[in-house]
Amino acid sequence: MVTSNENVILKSESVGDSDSAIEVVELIKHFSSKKESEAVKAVDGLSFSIKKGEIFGLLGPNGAGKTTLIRMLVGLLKPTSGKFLFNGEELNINSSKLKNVIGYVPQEAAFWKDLTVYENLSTIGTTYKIPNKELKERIDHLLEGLYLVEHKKKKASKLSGGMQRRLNLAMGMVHHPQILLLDEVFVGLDPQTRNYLYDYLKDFASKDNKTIIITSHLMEIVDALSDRVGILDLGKMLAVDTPENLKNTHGKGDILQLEIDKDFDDSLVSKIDKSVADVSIEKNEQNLVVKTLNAIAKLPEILNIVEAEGFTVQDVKLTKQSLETVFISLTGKELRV
Amino acid sequence: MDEKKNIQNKFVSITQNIGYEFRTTLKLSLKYLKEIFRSKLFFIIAILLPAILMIFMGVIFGGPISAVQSFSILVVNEDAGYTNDTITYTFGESLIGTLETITYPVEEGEEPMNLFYVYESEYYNQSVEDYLIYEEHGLHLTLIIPENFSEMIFSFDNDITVTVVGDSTTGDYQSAVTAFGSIYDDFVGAVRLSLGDTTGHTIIVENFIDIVGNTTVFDLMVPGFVIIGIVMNIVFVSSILTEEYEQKTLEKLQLTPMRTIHLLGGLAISQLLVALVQIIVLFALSLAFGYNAIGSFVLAGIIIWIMSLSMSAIGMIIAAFSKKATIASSISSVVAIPLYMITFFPVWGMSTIPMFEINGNVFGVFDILPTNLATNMVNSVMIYGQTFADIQFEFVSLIIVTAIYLIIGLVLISLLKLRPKKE
Repeated sequence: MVTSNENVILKSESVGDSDSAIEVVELIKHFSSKKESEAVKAVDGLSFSIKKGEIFGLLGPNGAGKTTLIRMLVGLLKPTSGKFLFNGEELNINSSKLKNVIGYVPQEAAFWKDLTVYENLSTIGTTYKIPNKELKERIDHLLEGLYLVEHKKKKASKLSGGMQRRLNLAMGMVHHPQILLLDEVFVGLDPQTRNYLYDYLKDFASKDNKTIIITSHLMEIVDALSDRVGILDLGKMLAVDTPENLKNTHGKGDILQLEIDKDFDDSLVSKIDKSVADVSIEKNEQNLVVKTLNAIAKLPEILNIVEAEGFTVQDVKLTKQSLETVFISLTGKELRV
Repeated sequence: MDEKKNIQNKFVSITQNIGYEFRTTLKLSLKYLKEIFRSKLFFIIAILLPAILMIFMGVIFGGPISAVQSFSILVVNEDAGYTNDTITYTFGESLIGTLETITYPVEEGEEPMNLFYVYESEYYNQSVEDYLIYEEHGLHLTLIIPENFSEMIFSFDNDITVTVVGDSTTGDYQSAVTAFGSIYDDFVGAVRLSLGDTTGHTIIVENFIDIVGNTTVFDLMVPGFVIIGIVMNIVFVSSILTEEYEQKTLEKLQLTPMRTIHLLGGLAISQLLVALVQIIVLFALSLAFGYNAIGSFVLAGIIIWIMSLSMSAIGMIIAAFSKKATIASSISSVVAIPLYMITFFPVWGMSTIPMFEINGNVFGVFDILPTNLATNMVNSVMIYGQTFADIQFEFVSLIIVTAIYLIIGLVLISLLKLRPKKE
């Protein structure tokens, strides 16, 4: 049984690995505060690596340290300690080499609202020193791929939310980065735009061995898009593997969450554990969290035991086996949106 | 051979890089220009507001300074006199004598001042008047006493007419005419009374002419108004940069190979172009409202143009410490007010405290403010007709002060806004 307190720190097997696009080594970020109790360890000794050409999903509840990690990787935030290597090389946080390698698409769409779509892309593209002709070709290609051609002369402020997010994405990709970091880019998108982005990113990654790191609350997208997934909580990486392996290793079937009317002790937990076959059970505050295959079939038996012990079940929540169940299993909590 | 090729390649690469550096700066400057000219707020604050102020002041203060205490008057006495019972009366001369003796008290214990300083001429023409205007710097009125002046006074029931010539657009002329009219009335009334008659009226015929060279309050204010427009650019620069920060576009630029110099260089270039538009529009308006400038508009424009760079730098300094555009524009407005007030200090004759002296040229405390230096210079050029040679010290001071402000702005933005954050 894996509890929320158990931390799995994954060490980088070989620092300076030429197959790795990014290697994070013992990375720490502490946010200090005047009151010691309010100081936060946002990233707590992270070590992991991401291979070239890989789409890497990063999952974690709010405050897990995902955005902090990404902002450090792109050079917007200074780490307290630790280092990272890009393509096996340790680069200065301000070096233009690093800036040419990395593309970052932040959670909040950021663009110049009084400029048109084309002007936004052309301005950001020029700062990457891309020759004029090539830049124009790249912009046209991006506009086409992200269905923005018809809107290229529109002021960015006049675009719909979905289009603004696509523009945001295009601005992070105009310099053809080897490594693309996407922070919650699917949030707030209508299904159609979400599908555009999904296909576009799949296509982008499949060409030229590009690496993508993506954080999202949308498990099914991360599940479908990622080659590997890392689960982060309280600044620590709890697990890193392919979605399939994670489900097989940590999923162990469906998850039943039973909200009990009053406080209960471990005797109820052990009673169910002994009476019902093939279940893994734990207490999480006033909830009983039961992990088992085919949970629906076992639910009446579990309810009987709870009632026999003098408790009432106020609410039952069933989560079928998925990346989300892996997440709950590892962190002990749901992914908060 | 290989070495030659290497050098050649290196040269090409360096040239290409310089080209890219310029292209980045120019692209960012173009971006800022588009943002500025597409903003209605810019048009209102930078062009419309100073323009309205200019028009308003042009109408109100288009007249000259009327703070003079004595009037200079040119008298052309054509009076032939009048003989009655073998006695010849020359009332024209008597009137001149009266004008010369009228005084008014200034302070207790001090000598009273003459109300009129009278210059006499045997005949009237424009060149006489011009001569006096330029030689004495301040002829306010010309009085022409007609040939039959004495005769008119004796011809009871007739009106007694004199002619005055002056520039009706100036306040001093109007004050001088009023003062003269009152004395003239008293004089004719007293003479008529002594002759035993009180009938008849005095008439003053006014001939208006344009006198070039009279400085009006508006003339003194024009440089200030143009400079106010430029000072408002502090608000634009600080708001634009803080908005970039607030809306995370600065962060987006921070992720690119762009450097601080590209960003701020681009912003400064855009502001120079904005300032150029402002200078042309505001000087054109001032001319339309009767700005009597005798100096070089080009030199004045260049001075204000350089000053505009320091305003951009002050905007950058404010932006470095601001996290929200609203806060930045509030701070900028607060900073702009004293800068704008100080612009008028030299106009009102307020002295500055000297900081140091180089070859007899004094650098005052207020000279650390570019607006002060610029206003002094523009007034010297436009009102007193000074040339570049006369204002060299102030001009170099302005360039140095502007460069210092720019360096401070560059360093602060780089340290506080474009470095990876610690928190």
